[in-house]
Amino acid sequence: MTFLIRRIILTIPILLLVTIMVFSLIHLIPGDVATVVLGQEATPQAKIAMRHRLGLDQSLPVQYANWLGNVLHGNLGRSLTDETPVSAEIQQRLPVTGELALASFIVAILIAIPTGIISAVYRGRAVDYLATLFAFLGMSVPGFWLAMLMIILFALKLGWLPSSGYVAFTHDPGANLRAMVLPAVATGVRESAVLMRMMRSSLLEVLGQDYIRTARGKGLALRTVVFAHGLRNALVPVITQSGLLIAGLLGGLVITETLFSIPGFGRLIVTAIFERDFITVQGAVLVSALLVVLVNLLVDILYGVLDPRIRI
Amino acid sequence: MRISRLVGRVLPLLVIAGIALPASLGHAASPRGPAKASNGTLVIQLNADPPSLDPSYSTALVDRQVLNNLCDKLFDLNARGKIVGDLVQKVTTSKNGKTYTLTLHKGIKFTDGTPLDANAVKFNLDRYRQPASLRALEVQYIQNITVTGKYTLKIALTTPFAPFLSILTDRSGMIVSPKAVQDEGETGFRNNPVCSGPYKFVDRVKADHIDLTANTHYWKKGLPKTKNLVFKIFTDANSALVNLESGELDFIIPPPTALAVLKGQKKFTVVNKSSISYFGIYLNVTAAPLNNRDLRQAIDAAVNRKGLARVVYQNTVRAAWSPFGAGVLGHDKNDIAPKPDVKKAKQLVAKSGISNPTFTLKIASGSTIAQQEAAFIQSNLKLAGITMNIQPEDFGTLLSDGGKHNFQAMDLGWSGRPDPDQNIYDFFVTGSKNNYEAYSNATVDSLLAKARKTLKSSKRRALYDQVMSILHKDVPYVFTYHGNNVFAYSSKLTGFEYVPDGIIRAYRISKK
Repeated sequence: MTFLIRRIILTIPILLLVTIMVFSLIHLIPGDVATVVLGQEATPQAKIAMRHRLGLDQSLPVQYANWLGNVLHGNLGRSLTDETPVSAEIQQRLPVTGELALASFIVAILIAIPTGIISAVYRGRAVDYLATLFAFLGMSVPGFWLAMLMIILFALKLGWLPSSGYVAFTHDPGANLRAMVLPAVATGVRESAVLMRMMRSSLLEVLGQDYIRTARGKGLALRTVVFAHGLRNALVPVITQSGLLIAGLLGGLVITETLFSIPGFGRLIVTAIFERDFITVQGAVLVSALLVVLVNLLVDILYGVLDPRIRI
Repeated sequence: MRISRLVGRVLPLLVIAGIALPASLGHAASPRGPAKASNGTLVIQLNADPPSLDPSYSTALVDRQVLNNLCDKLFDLNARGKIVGDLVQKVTTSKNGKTYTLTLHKGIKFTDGTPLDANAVKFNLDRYRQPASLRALEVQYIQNITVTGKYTLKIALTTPFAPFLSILTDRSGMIVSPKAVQDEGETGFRNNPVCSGPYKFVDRVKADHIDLTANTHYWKKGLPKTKNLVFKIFTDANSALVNLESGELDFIIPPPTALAVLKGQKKFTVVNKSSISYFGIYLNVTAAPLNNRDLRQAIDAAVNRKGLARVVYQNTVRAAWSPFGAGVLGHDKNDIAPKPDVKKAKQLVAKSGISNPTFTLKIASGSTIAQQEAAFIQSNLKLAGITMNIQPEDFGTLLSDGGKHNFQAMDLGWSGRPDPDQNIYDFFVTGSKNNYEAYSNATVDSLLAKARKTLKSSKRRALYDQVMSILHKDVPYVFTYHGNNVFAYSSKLTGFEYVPDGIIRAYRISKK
């Protein structure tokens, strides 16, 4: 329990550091925000008024302090382009990206764990080489290319699935799932490659240990040894990798979201960056950082569940 | 079974990490999916997210695509680019060109039920005159607006201004509901715009889609042709293309490079027409070595415009030599692109007295085709012994550098307006806002000032001819081409009519 509290307290300086970094990076970009947002047709007065309203005429530390003060009051500010509250935008998109990340993760796990196990158990056989080949392909193929091929095959040629769009689960569960299949598989296949290699090497290491030989020696079936004795120990590094994967997916689905026209979190950030909507960028990156920290915390907790020797 | 234990261990990971996290932070409002492309729904691609759906604060072409289907305007352009009345039934201009009397169509209502009358028009024009409005410069010559009857008003200008009616065919002529502006506030209105147009606003998910539905009380009978209109934002051209094929999109705005793929497909209709935009290179006349006129002329002579249009753009742009695209007054003979003349360019370099002239061209980063274009021009200039370095820069920085004249040469164009004045005045008159090249020529200043006060086309035309012959000599800007508007749409659609401003009047499109 003390570990948990200590971990939670430790996240505060991390988040502060993230806010300072994001804030500085955005203000390091050359070019005037008012010029970008208002465009070539603005009067000089309009630009000055905008800079004043945003506090851009104040010093950077003062701007940062003002922003942080608002954030601590739960106010992430309003978008520069359309004046909607940033927190509302994030709330609207996070569940979408969450669902996509979860679905991609499930696809990745469903592919990675069985192939990883088979590959480890039948090391050096044809099936292992096949799995390795698949993993290398998965890692080397650009995600957008695979996604595009899948759209062409399953949406255009076969017409089984929609080529784009998003429907909320609460609105129409069937349509929601159909729309999620292609993006989740396109992302999941790619992400499974690393997990599969991790699963394989981790299980191989475990299977080489004395207690496994003992278990085999006392006459237990291979299947029992692998699943009951080996797998649980081998999963620890895989869980770590999974945590990183999920954290990465929550902010890094932007290409999938763009190709499949899904209103997710990644697209929000990227659009905001292009529009120089720094208020939205700051808020979204802060939430993104918070998510990464939380996922890591959960991974630590799960270690304890999987391996009781790791006490938290 | 052992596996069930494993599942029991792994499942919480999935559940906790995948669902609890996002759900705990954002449980509210999931976006509803937009209406699918069915018979009653027309789905149009936009290649960028519209920054603002308020004509007063709109900055982008994609804004105009949406707004033109939401709002009626005082005037509109027809397919030949001529100005015709829209909300305005009749207009008279005083002899001195300083007073316009407008008579509106009667009985039109905004979609919130309030009347669109002379008072509403005055409210809108006054709103556009506020310094905070991005329309302020367009309507800067309005002195006052007097409502003379329920449906008539007089607009007095401080000076005759020939482009005035043409400006009212765009955002400055859009009439929004005064009540909605008052209720929603200046900044709230853009998220729930209310006008009197063929469609009304339903819903928007930023960077994803905008939903509109038919205004059932629309005053023009029989319009709109399709019940629902959805704009979907697809920033990726390939993705938009496959979605046009799969039927998720009905109408796309592809980049010129996609034309080769689109051509020869029977399922689509492709439109590829010259627009009124123009592109080229600003030459900073105050920065060495481009403060040398001979060198600037050498550059102008060396550029192979037709080659650029063919090789880099596969003829989806049209070689040009003026800011006046097809249909804009002043277009024809001023705009004929000269053939590249390397010999003449070399002579001019020799005459300039500069040995090994070298300069840097700033271009917008992130666009492959802009890089190819710059590289093509670089090779043209090389033949004449001129070295051009290329420096990509983020678009915002590019604009800032332009305003500060902080560059030698800059590749930047203009989306174009139907009136010639709006394509030339702000770009070449001493000290005006888009005069990035720091050009100053008293004759050009007075000719352009005179041209915008001259109402008679033939006289105006002569003035622009004079200006162009000076600009061709001084070369503060190397005009290279006019962009094309490229559209592709499903053959199920009928009724699309191309208008030179490049705006899709979706309300006229029917879907089989």
